[in-house]
Amino acid sequence: MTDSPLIDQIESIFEAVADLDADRKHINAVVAAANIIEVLCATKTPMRMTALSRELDIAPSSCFNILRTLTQEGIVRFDRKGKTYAIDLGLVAIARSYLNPGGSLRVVGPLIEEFARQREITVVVWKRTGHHMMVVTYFDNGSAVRVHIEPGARFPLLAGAMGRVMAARGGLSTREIKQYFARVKWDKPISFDEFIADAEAARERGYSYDSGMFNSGIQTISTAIAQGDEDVDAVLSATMFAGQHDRKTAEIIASELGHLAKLIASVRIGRSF
Amino acid sequence: MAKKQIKAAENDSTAETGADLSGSSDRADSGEQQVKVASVAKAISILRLLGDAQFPLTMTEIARDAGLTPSSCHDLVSTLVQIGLVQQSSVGKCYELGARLVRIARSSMTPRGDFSSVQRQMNLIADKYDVNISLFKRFGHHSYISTQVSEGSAPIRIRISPGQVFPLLQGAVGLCFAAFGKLTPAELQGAGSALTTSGRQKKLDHEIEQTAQRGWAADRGRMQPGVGTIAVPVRRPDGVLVSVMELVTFQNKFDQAPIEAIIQDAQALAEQIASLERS
Repeated sequence: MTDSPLIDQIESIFEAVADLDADRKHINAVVAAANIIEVLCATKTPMRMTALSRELDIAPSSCFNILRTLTQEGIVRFDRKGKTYAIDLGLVAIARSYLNPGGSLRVVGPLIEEFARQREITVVVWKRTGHHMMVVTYFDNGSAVRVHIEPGARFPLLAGAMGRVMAARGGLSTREIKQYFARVKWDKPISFDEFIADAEAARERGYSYDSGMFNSGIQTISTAIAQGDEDVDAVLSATMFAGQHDRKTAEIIASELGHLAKLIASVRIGRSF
Repeated sequence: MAKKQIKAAENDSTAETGADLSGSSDRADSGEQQVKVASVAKAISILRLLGDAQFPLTMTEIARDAGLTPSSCHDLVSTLVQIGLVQQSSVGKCYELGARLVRIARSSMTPRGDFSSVQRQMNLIADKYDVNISLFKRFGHHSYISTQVSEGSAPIRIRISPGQVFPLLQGAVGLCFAAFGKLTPAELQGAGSALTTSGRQKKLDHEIEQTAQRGWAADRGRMQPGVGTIAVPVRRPDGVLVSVMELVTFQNKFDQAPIEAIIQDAQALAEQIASLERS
C-alpha cells in the first residue's frame, strides 16, 4: 500500500493476483481463471496444470476444469505432446477494438480523468512529430478556472518539462539537443548547462519539473511514456498553476504520473495511442 | 503473497456465497458437467460482448445481451471489475473492458524478450517503403489473427489493427501459412473450401508450391482491390513457422515499389523476430 489510492489501483492492474476487497462478494472461479491467464502471460512459458495449480494454490480439479474452459474459449492453448498450457490469442481478439489507435487512452482514460480531478491539474499526452511535440489529447479537471492546452498544438521539441524528458530519453545526440534547445523561447531563460543538468536529474528520478521557466504562471511535471529504459517518442505531463501545490504534493503527483505513463505504455500498440 | 491472497479470497467468498473454488455449483447450473466452468464461460461471454460493443454498456444491456439473470450478471460484472478485467467507463454507469485485460492482451502478442528493438526496426522499414507491417499468428484451426503492427507515417496510409481474424488461407499471408505451416490435409481442405471453389483448388495448390519455393508470397489487389501485399514467413532456426509478416501498401505504389529490396529487409526483420521466439 502506498500513500496514493491511484498508485495502489494501477499496481493492482500489473499484479499477478488481484488484491480483492474481502468485504465484497466475488466469484472464485472467475478470479482463479484471471490469475491463471496472468501467470501464463507473465511467464510466456508453457506450464503444466500441476505447476499452475501449485503456484496459484488452486485445487487441481478446479484448475483442470478452468483450464479446459479457457482452452475451449481460445484464451489458452493446450499442447498435447508436452501436456502444457500456454497463453493463446483469444484475449487479443476480444480486446481488438481497444488495440486500435485511440484504444490505449480510452482504457486508461477513466484513471487519468480521476487523477486530473483529484489533483485539480491538466494532464496532457504529448507525442513527437519531427522537430516538435504535439498535444495528442488532454484531460482537464472541470474546475471553473483551469489550464487548457489545445489538442493538435505543437511546441518546440525541447520546451519546458517535457523538453527535459525528451533530452534525457528521446534518443537524441548531443548535437541535436543543442540545435533543438536553441529553438526554444523561455519566459525565464535557462542556460544549456542548466537544461542538461535538469535532463540528467529527470533521467535519474524519472520525471522533470518546470516551474514557470518555459511559461511563467504555470508549473509542469513530465515523465516519459515508457515501460522500461527504451528511447521514447511520447511524454505525459501534469500542468498546474504556479504555486498551486506544495513540493510534497508535487512529488506524489510526479509518482502518480509515472505510474500512469507506465500503464499507457503497457497498453499502447506501436507508435499509436 | 499470492497464495495468501487467493486463500483469503477463497475463505471469504466461501463463507458468503456458499460456493467453492472447484466451481461445482457452476457446473450443476450449466448442465455441461465436466466440460465447462459455467461462471468462467459466462465471464468470457461478457468480455466478448464488451469487446464487440462500440460503446460502454449498462448492466441491464449486458444481462440482456449475454442472456444472464440480473443477479448473476451483477455478481460476474462486479467480480470482473474487482480484478480489473472490466472497468466503469467515465460515461455514467456503463462498463467497458479494463486496463488489465488490454495489458494482458497486448503482452500476449509479444514473444519473450525485448521486442522494442524489433518494433523500432519494423517502424524504420514501414517508413522506408511507406508500408504497413503486420505480424499474423495462427488462431484456432481455420484462421489467423493480426498481432504486432507498425504503420508508416504518411498522412494517408493503410491501417490493420491487432486482433483482426482472417480465414487461414486468405491472401498472401494464407499462402505462407499453407506453404510453411505444416498444415494437416484436413486443415488445408477445411480452410481451402471456405475460400475457393473446387475449380480454384488446383490454382491454389500451384500458388502454395510457388510460395514454398521462392520463400515469399504476393497479392496484387486480389484479396482487397487497391491493395498490394507481400508476405514472408517468420521461422525459427528449426524451421517451425511462428508467424507470417505482411507488408501492405496501395496497389499503385506497390507496382512501382522495389519488391526485391522490400523482401530482403522483411526477411532480415523476420530473422530478428524469430530469434526472440523460444524453441
